[in-house]
Amino acid sequence: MESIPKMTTSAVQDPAPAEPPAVIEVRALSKGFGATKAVSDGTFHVGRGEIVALLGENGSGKSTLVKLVSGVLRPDGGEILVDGVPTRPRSPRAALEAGIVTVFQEILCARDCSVLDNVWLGNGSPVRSRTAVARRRKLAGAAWRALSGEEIDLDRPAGTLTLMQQQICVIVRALLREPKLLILDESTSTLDVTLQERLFAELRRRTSEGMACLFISHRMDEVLTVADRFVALRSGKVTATRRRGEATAQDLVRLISGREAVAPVRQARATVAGEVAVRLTGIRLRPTSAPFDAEVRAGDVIGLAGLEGHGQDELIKAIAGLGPVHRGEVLIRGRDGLQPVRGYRRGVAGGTVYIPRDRKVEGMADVLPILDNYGLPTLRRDQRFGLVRPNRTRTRFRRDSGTVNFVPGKQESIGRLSGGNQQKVIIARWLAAGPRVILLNDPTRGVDQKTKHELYAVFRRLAEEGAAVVMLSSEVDELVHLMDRVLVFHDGSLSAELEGAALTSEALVSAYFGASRANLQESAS
Amino acid sequence: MALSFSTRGVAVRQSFAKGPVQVLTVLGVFVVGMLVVPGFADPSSVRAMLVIASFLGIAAVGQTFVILIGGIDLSLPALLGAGNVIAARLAGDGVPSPLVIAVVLCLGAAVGVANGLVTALWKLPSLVVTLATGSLAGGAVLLWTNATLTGSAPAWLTSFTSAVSGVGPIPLAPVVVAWVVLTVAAQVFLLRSRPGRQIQMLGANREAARLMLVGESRITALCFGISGALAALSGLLLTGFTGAGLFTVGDPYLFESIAAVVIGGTTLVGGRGGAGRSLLGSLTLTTLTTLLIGLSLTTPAQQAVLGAVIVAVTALYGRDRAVGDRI
Amino acid sequence: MSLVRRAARSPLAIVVSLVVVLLAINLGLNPGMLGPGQLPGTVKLLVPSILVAMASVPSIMTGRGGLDLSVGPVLGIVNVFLIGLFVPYGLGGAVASIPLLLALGTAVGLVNGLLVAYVRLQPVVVTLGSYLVLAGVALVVMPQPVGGAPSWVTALSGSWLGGFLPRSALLLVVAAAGWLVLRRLGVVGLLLAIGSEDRAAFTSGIRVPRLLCLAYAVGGFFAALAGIGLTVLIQSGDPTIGKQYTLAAVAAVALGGNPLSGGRGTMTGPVLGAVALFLIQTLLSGARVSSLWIQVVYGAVLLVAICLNSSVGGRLAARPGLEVR
Repeated sequence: MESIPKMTTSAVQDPAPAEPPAVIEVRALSKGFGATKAVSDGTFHVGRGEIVALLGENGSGKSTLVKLVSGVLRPDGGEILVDGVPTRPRSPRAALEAGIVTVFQEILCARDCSVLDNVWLGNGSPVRSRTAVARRRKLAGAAWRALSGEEIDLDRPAGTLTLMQQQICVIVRALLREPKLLILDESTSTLDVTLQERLFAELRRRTSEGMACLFISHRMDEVLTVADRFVALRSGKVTATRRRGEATAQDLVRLISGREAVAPVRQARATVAGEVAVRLTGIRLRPTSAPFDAEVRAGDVIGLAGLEGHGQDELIKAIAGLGPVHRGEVLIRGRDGLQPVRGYRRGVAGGTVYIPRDRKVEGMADVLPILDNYGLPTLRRDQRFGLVRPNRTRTRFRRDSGTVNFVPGKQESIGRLSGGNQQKVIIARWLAAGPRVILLNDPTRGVDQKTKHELYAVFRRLAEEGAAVVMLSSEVDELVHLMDRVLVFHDGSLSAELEGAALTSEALVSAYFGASRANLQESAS
Repeated sequence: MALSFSTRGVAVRQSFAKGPVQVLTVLGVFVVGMLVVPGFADPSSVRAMLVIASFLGIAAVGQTFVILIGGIDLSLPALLGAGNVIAARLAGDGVPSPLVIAVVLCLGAAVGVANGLVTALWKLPSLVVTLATGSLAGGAVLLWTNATLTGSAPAWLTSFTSAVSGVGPIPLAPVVVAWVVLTVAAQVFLLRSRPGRQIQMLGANREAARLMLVGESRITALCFGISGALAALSGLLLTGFTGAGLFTVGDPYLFESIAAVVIGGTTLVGGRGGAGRSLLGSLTLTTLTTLLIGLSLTTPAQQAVLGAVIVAVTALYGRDRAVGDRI
Repeated sequence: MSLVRRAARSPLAIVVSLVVVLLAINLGLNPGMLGPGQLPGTVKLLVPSILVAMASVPSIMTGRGGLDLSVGPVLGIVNVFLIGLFVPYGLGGAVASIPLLLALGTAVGLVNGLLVAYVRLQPVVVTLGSYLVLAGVALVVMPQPVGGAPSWVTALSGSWLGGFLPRSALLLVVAAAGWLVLRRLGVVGLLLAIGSEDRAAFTSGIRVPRLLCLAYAVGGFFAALAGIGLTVLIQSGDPTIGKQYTLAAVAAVALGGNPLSGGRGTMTGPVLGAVALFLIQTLLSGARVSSLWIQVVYGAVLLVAICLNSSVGGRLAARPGLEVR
């Protein structure tokens, strides 16, 4: 029979004791892969009712630490204590039985299975009696509503959901297990602002009932909002622990990187905008949405923003030639001036390049060498007598990797690089095509702070050199600090166009919810 | 590991060097044969083995192209049989040899391209598509010949595939030399041509390949076309060996070609491998079969041992990553 | 209307309409086909084909190219062991031989599963290996076809339920019941989840390797049932007849609308697929066409059917993906 999910705690007793009893304590955990030590000293604890943020740059060993605690990998040394009892989770199953539930960085949804099956995957007995299914349906629906505030058709295959809904799906799956310790590894990167807040509210509700949470995110604002304590990880070692209020964002960045924080200064544009590169006239993204016009000029860095699924994704794909708009005309500057978009291939030939959102699925082939992943679309120019000269590709790569601030190391396969470096290779690939218009679909997702800032500088420089940069982003800070202008979408319509002094995080967020343009301009002035 | 064109040096040589396990496997089987079977390493025996390996090897090169893009070509025995029968029939009717070769290659390539286009345009599993087209093409050839031994091999073809003939100073049958040249050409094509790299990308990640301007249908058709043409070519060459055309001559090559590719170390999920490996795989398979014959095993017993060996050899270097390592 | 539209979009639409059309034509040419005179013989022919199609379903569902090529040779080896080993050594009785044969098939499947799940070899390689081993062993045990079926085999070919069905249809009942139990226990759902995303299943605490073994073992069990069905059909031992069932099984699964990449699929589809393939053959042999034509038409129908299946399935699986032009 099915085990009835129960509250992990009897009552809410102590609101904020000096040291809540540790749900999990990790001592001197270590793990190496061949010669490299991914984690050399993982020592931290998470107390009951506590949200602890694990901070570190890419490659600092966060993910490995998470995999060790969740039973995916086995540690070489060290101890894991759950409720004070030494435990060695030998498999994810064992970890789950110990109450450690993990939402992994990659969204692991079984695409062909229904949402219902997905959220109950591996939870309880798989026997399908009618009463059990009805009960599960009720609980799943309630959990989904509680998290997202929306209804969902539980019988839909998970593959038909948007990326954000799939993310909700895996979080709901974890919550339905009533975890003792919930680990969220970069699980908020696809969530929009509303969803993040709802998730944080849910986390607070759960922690007040005694759940412990280990939270991992690259978004400093999130971490500061939600965490009670911060654990900084550097090169596989836990280097510092700070309580909330003991450290500012700058302090934390210093702890993580060992450097001074890069102050998020608004970058002023260096050049005056050039000729029109993209012209949108009478665009209606959906039958129900209002038409709008917009222009992007050479030298512009334009942001596309909105809550997930409100039209910005359709628009960037339409400009790339990867999908239609409902009505209206998308003109783009190719070799012969402004012309209607005629498919992806012709777009690339005319100098419009597109960096897709999902690196692993659309961006690269992780088993192939970096050089293939860089050079394939432009390989024609490395040919001589019909044969490719790898040395030419290598030379080109050296030049373009310099532009994106990528330092080629010993690794040959792109799969071994960090997310940020993979993104740099992908961008370099398209720089080689000599782009006039660069379309970026959320390019800094899952990229650490330092690399993010390097990428911002790259985008800025490209714009200064005369490219038009259009970038979809789900991160408010990024939009405010990087963009010349931001187009905000709500329900398929352009709800605001923010620039200059009007481009503030408050204005952005209210535009996400469809506050009218006039209102915003008023409040800005 | 993936064949790489990012390291220095001659890529072709390197890709062979990167398969030391495969080389050792061939040598290992050969040494065992030398120790156990008298006369195993005699020049005449080795030359005969190479000729037998070459028919398999040529077909396996074609199969490699298909497997590299994550497909599988089950129409291979039908096309091989068709090539065999058509060549014998046309040659028997006095059609000039160059024309015979052209007709056979074109027919094989045409069926292959059709396979590829159907697979790519309808997004179907190639296994079923080629099963169907193989049945179709095979049936058509059988109808034409009434399923009997037909025609005869032209004299040049017989000496081309004879173990005792040689190419200039090289004491190897011309068919063996042709096989090696073909393999090297295929390997260079895969490593050093634009379509070759596109094949590897398509096999490694379909979605990303499309965004990198790889024409999915074009490349799929190319791979299946090469496979079809080489299967038919192998069938034509077999005519020289068998002397007459018989459709069922292709049957054993279905699983043997797949086995040769897999033993060579090309993975069936696509994206990783190469033609050079299939050469080693074909050699391993043929040497092993010869060894088993030398041990006077009956054909069924050979088959059984071969099956076990395929699994054992792949276990040495063809293991997938564990689920936990893919997270 | 909406019911019709829903039915038309079901993955079974193509195979169901194919069966209906073929049945209608067959009946037109041979009205007595479903009568008590011919039906038992027809079903007897169908039993091994249906069972072998069922045998390849579970492993295909688990994805990662989980094609079981060895199902055909399992049929052969069950047939050969029964007639060539068990009967001469006095184990031919129903009580002794049936459990042994079923255990044999299950064990072969289990070995396949262990190699796939724990040694992590590609399923096609593993089952290609066991295909060759089993086909070879069958010929070693029984170099020539041999007659002499035990009495229970003869009894199974007798008529059942008032002469409408042969007793060997019981084998179908056993297989169907087994599958329903697995479905009810939720095992089928788990297999599909593994086929869809094994990492999600693994991190959700599902014992992926064990379930993979189970899938292959169930396939082997069904194949053993098919082997018994085959023996009932031919009433003798034949070492080479089993092999040809492998590709027919794959064709039936594909025709039934199950993607060979796993994660989705039904059991009904492949069963109907096997029926459709069978009906094509009866139709053509009924029309006195040369057996060579059967091969051509067989290929053509298969090709057209999977193309149609794909356009239906493609619409269903349409995801907000990218259309690169």
